[in-house]
Amino acid sequence: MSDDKELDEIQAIFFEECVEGLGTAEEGLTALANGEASPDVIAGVFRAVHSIKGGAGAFGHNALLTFSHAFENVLDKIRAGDIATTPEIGQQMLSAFDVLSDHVSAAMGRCDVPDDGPVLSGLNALLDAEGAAPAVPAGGTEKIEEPPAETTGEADEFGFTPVAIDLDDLSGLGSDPLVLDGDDDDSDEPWVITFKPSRAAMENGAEPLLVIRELERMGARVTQADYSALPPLRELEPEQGYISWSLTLDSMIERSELDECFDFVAPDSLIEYHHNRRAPVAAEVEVVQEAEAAADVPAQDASAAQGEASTDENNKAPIKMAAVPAAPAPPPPPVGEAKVADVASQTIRIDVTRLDMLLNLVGELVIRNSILNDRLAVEDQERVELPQLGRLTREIQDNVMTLRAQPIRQAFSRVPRIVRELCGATQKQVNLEVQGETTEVDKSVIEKIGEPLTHMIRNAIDHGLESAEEREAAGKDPVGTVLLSAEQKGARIVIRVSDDGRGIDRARVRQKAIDKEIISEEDQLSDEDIDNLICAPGFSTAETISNISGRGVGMDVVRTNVEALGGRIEISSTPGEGTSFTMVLPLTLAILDGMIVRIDGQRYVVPLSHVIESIRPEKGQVKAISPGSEVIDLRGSYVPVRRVSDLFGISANDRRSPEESLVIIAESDTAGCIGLMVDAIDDRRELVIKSLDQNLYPINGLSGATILGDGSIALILDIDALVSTASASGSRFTLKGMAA
Amino acid sequence: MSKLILTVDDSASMRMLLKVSLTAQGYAIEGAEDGRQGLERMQELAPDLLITDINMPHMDGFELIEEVRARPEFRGTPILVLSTEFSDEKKSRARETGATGWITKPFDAEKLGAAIRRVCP
Repeated sequence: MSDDKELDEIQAIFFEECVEGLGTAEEGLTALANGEASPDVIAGVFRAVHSIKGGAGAFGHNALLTFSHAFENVLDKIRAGDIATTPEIGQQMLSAFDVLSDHVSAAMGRCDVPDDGPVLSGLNALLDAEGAAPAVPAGGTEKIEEPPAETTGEADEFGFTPVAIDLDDLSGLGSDPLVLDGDDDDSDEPWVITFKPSRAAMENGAEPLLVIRELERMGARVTQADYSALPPLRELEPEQGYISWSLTLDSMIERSELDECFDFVAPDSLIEYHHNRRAPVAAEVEVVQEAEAAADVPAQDASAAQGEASTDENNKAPIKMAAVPAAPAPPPPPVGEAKVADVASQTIRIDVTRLDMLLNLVGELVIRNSILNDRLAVEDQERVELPQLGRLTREIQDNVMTLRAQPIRQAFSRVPRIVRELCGATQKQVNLEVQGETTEVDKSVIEKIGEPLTHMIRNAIDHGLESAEEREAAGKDPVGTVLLSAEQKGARIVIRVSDDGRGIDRARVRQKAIDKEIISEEDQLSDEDIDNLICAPGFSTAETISNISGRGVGMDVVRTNVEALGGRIEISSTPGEGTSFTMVLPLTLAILDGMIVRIDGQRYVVPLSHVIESIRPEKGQVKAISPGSEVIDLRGSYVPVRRVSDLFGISANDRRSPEESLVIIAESDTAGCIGLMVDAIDDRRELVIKSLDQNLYPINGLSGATILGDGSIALILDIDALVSTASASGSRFTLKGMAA
Repeated sequence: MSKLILTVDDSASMRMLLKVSLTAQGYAIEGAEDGRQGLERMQELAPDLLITDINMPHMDGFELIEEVRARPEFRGTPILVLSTEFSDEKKSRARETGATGWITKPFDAEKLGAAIRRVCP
């Protein structure tokens, strides 16, 4: 059919659709479990699972196919109202959904095929209880699950099979194609075939001529064309079947092949075939012939063939023919109104790498723009309309950024399942509330917050919430609540996981930290500091390491991950009332609003989101408290001051006095403020971040680099890392990786 | 000139799979992602054959077939349903609505080609 690479690409798209479909399904089923699913929602779930099933079949994922089939059958019953939409059913479907998503993961090769036995039986039990459709599909999927029955064979690939299926009871249309004898298939006698297409088949666009051609391709010969029923031309209805054909065909042809041939003209056409040794039974089956007024359409080629066969209008007796006359070429397809596809598509799928390339190019454009800005005098800028170009460039940039924005729902979609699993594992009752899932963030952020988010949820349920008994004893609702929310604040997104559990036991956390030698007995810590210990490396408060949140991956990893994204974690807790973990992340990882500062002739960028204020210190405002350690008196409170040149070990030739410098007060996300002493502030710009990891290697204290308007490179300071290093004992960075 | 087939399916992967399979057999393929768009594309392209899914948002396959058949210029255009559904009920409904034939997914490219040849010269 096509080369494997092409198929792989299509399959990758199918998997994307699966993930989307699973999201839709989970949302709908959750609504169902909460007793608030509308028919539209159920229909949406059905469609989603249906598509997964379709693709599973196409790409040969049989386990997924079988399971999604059973799942879909139950959904169909729910949709039809045969299965009541009770919360219990919703819960059962959600459990089954989890297995379905495991099947999808298995199809993607991410895990082993799950054991779906019990859940599958549960689904089938639902169907059986309703006297519903067979659990094993009887159609095209049959051949995957069990070998097809011999007599129906390949014809099952197609729907209007002229044997075995009694369609007419259902449709009330015409009659079944007549199969005279099913036992004579092995006969050596040639097939004798009689065929008279019905009006219904013709109206549906079936083409008798093509059926006959196909039979001829198989070796059939037309022995007779009976057009005795053909009316005079003026009375001829193009969509009426007037002619019946008789054909003979070699006995070697399988019945199933014949079935297939007649597939689309069945079942209300007259079709019979049998081996020659028996006398054919007279065809008594009447074709439905409604006397409707002829439609005002040009004669179709089907009737053209009929017309040609009846050149002699008076000769209505059956005649022997060697073959049907060749039909004239079909008329050109009717040309509809030439309509411009104004609503061709509402969504387009684009490979992310292409978007990234575009983003990169726009970044370059921004840089070129600032280069022009720097090099041209103001009047020249006006003359070449540079300001307009700049505005346009920024607009393009904004637009490209929105292309990459996606609702955070995608990252949130796995949370309900995690909660369900944890409820089962911990025997706790949890009500999950989700807010702000339509908040849009950059795709790169969505991709990377999944793991930290999972851990925060696990932490909230496993450590935060109490058992139902404990909660009742404390006079709380036995069902704990976990609130997951997202909101945009400026250029940042704030994702919060809060629980109404017991809160952080600070005494215990402190003791644990002392035991683990993270802090010493003498350390005086604020409540906030103690809370933050949870994120300290090597810390775990669970007395026995549970298999839920104590998998050796602690909150410290979460913090590291979040910080790597340029974000931070905030913890707040009230004993007895609950804890909330807040992730604050940049909306995008590619553009940064930055303050360009100068230090020892070099330019650096301080991310504007961290900057609180900049101060020209008065004499005595900056005080040395120990060698190499200074603080600034900021309206009564002291903030440590660092010279960036010291931090990076750059020897400054002319060490300025504080009064000649500027101090930028920057707030770290986790560890308070720092004053950065710089020589001057040059500018404030939107900058395109170039990753150091990709081009060099990660350097502690720097989050990236950017190209400035004059084409020179400036390093972007990582304020969080600077602050934590500044407060740690060794207040200087070493350039890791230089040796490598 | 190669025959033009319009494939209507809400799944992009299914549309691509059809396109790849049928382009290899010499057909020109256009796609639409739901019934509503399918109807627009029908009027715009007047294809030689319509292949449509049943379960789609906005306008499902049945409605699409009905709409297409209601237009005189498409009275003779063959329509194949390509669906994972296989219930007799659905099939008869499709036939009553005006479908020429029904093919059950997953489809085999060769058989699909043979089926097309039986409805589209």
